Amino acid sequence: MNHRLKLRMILLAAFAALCVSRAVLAATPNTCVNCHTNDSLMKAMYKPPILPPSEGEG
Amino acid sequence: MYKGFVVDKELLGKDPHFRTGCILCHSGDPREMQKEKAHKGLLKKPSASLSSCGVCHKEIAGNYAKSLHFTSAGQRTGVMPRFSEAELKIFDEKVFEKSCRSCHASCGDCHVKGAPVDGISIGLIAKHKFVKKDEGKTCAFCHGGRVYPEYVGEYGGAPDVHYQKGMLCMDCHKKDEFHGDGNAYASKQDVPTRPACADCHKPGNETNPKARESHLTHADKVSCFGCHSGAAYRNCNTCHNGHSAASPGMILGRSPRDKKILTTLRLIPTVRDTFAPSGIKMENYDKVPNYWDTPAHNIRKRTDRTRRCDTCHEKRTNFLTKGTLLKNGSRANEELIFVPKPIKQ
Repeated sequence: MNHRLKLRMILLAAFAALCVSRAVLAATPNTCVNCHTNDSLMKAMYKPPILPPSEGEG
Repeated sequence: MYKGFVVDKELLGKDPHFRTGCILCHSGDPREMQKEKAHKGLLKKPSASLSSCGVCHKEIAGNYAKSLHFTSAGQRTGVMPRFSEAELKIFDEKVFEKSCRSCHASCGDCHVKGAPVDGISIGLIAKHKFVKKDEGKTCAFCHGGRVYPEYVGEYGGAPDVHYQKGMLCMDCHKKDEFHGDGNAYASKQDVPTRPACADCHKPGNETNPKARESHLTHADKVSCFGCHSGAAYRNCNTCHNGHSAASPGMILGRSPRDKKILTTLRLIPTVRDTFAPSGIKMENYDKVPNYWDTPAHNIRKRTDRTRRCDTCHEKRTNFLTKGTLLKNGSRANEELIFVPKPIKQ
């Protein structure tokens, strides 16, 4: 394998690695956004707060 | 109420507040699929410490740290004359930080998420939009027991004339009053940017000669509210005296801050045993009255008192008397009784 071919192979490998890492990053879930922008999911998960045994307002 | 936690997806790409992602402010773990694990270490009110907003809004956060909405110093100033020195120390240690100051407003309480009142919050004001103002929500959350409903006429009586003209809270109360000016004031009375009626209604500019005459006659004797409060307003015992036993009322008497001035008074909620559970008897309870002068937010141009002199000078309608004083109240209450002079014939 001559020197030019070696260089091409290295560049190709670097490019492939870059593409894979971007794909992996894009696939990393952001559950904050996924859940909190999903109206029906939020409705299903919501639990009403338990009220303290007091009355009053400011 | 789940809607209070739903974020508008479209905002995420538009508003620069979201560029750094959720966890910079809220912590938590966005890789976890289960709610409990994702919410581990979650900061529900990231702006409570002011440092997160202060990264970009340095001057506002710096001033706000000393403002009354953040320090709650007004509550301490109001009640502290009732305490002995030793009692004040107990109050500061046991009550103020845990109770009074728990109500202080963070940046987010006004700009992002409604402040919880007695454990209840409507959640995000506009799907996590950072709102500049939305008085019906941001102010009314905390001031919704008395001032806001009084202003909009929610519980009877006519609404405030300023509301009817389309004005809301921040048309009079400017942002510097909330954000602070870098000075730590002890009470709202000390805030120089606090609005006054005369800021807009300059004395001497009246078009009606009768109004001008009446203003001249009563200048430095009666507050604007004394004549222009339009209807009964809520007092603390309207709700907290045997479950709404009392109706809203109007109370006219001497201002506790300046006894030469006749004004509208409001019954305050500090009774003799308020701090008994914390071991504070209030040794100086009787030094301060149970009524404070109040800027009733139900202003009308014409009221029973502006129409007829005898409403005050003969009938003495709504004036505080010995018979109407709070039972078992402070002995200082009697000093607020004002008897108007009869009209000269």
